[in-house]
Amino acid sequence: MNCRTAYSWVLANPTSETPPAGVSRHLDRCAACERRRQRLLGLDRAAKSFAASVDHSAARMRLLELVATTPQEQPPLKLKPASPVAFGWRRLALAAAACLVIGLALGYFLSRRPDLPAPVAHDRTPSNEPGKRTPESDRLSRGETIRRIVLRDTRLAETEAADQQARVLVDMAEDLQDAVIGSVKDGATDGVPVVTVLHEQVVRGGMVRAVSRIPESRRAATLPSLATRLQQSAARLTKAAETELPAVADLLRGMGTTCADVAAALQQPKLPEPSPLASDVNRPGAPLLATLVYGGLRLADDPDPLRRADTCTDVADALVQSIVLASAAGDAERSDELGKSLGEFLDKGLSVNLGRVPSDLPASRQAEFDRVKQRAAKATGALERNLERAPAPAKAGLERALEASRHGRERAAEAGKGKGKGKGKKPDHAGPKDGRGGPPKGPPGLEKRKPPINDEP
Amino acid sequence: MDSREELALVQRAQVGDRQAFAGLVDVYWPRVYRWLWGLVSSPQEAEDLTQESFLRAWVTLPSLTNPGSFRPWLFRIARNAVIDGRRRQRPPATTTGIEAAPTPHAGPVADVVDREGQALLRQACDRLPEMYRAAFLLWTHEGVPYAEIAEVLGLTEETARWRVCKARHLLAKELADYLDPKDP
Repeated sequence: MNCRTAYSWVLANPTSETPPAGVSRHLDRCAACERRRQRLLGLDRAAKSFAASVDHSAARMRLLELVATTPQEQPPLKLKPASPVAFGWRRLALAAAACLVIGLALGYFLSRRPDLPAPVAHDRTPSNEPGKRTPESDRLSRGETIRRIVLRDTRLAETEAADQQARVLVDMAEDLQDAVIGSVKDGATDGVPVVTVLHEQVVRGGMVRAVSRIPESRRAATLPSLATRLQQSAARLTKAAETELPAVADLLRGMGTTCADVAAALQQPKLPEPSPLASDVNRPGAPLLATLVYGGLRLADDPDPLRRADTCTDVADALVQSIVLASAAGDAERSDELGKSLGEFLDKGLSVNLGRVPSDLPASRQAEFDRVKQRAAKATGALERNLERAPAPAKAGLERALEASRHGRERAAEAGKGKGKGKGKKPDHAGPKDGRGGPPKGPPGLEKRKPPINDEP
Repeated sequence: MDSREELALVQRAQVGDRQAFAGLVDVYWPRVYRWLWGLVSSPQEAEDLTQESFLRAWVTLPSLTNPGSFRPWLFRIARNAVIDGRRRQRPPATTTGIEAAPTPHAGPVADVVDREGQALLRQACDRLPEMYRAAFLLWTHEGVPYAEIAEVLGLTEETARWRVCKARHLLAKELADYLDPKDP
């Protein structure tokens, strides 16, 4: 062992690490190398002691304030990175040969498999009218998933009946299952873990909470069909897991277990305990899909029209953000789709709840009402404000979204006037509707509510 | 915080849990700040870049495919923030306010680690080429293995190892008189 070798080892390894025998023997014999090692020891200690006495608490607070108002970018569920490949004849021949081999293998494989069961059919058309699922619904694109979830949110915003809410939440769970199965089949698994978390919240949380609010007299008519649908979902997910890699299969089976567990629990005399709603995911900052799902869960949980309107503005804000991003990316088609979803949601969700706010609102809630109105006005005007500042490539998408959402925005703007003198229903001060089994709630304005993020210290 | 707790926080933050992200900020802010401060030599700029890095991390966290590799991913964002920040071309401030934390395992050479020593080391680090400094500080402060340093800095593992060794060699040579005053 010479000095160069020993020194090379000492340079490359932490001084705290015990040298190998050869290096150790050399260091014992060579004073110069041992001295160099000691220098490095001192250097490492000094460098580790770098510290700054600056107080960063103010900077951290500013950061968290920014985080509270900054949306996360949601990764696409369908991820097919385009890799520019020089497409030569040799590659074409190889690709053709690969397709032939795969096709032959697939044909052999399919010929040996038992017949797969037919797709399950149940009420899942956008208007919630009875209908059948098409084979294409196993290939839901991310845009389609968002559109469906917004439709569920719209229904949850419109209805106050717990049995209808429970059905819509099962619809939402099935939308998430379709998204996961479709993504997995397309080989895009990046967003799957996020969606499984959302699915859990919907089924074990929101749906179970909604079921607990169904009056006893109506449960017999509702619970069996919900249980059946969940059982069918469990079977579908378990089947989908059979052909996937272990990590993905585990996620699918987990979703299936969730459905099976809740289906079984719904058939018991005692209803299951719902999972709590996750905290701090209800503000701009969460991915769009999560904001929409959690917005729907909050709409289902809350009977108060003013708070429901506030939740609706959260959802609308998230949709507006996504429209702006899609427009900036030049995706006018997506802007248009999202604009339609936004318009319908503003029309049937936000404006309906603003309309239900009583005209004799207690003074203690007036500030809240003004804030919600301001937020609603900001949400409905955001697209126009963005259009004014948008560069030319982004204008097309924004204009399409504006047009697609016009009716809804106008309705929402009108509904904010006069404190809901339209079709609004008076709140039931005698108690919650549908015999809600949760904690007793007092008159509006006095119920305990988790404070919004801005009120937190 | 152990790796399982951190993984749970990252996964929760990925679905929008702000409290979970705040927990990650608590853990990583001092570490990212310290590294950035070593790269830009201005405490204010380091603070700004730290904030920018965490904000960027929040926005793009859902796209982190392997939540277990949060640390190198975060430091890579910080590194990119430095590169982007170069365009602002802030004049470097003088480095002041360095406190020498007590070293846990004092030895004959470590006894001389004091304020003057810290300042000398700081100045020597600032004179290191940045590519060596970045790798060295990650290795020294964070105990990051070479493979992870390579991931943060966009290098091969061998190059990361070489840069750390080079940095240590240059610093030890520059500070030889201070670290070993009795050396003839």
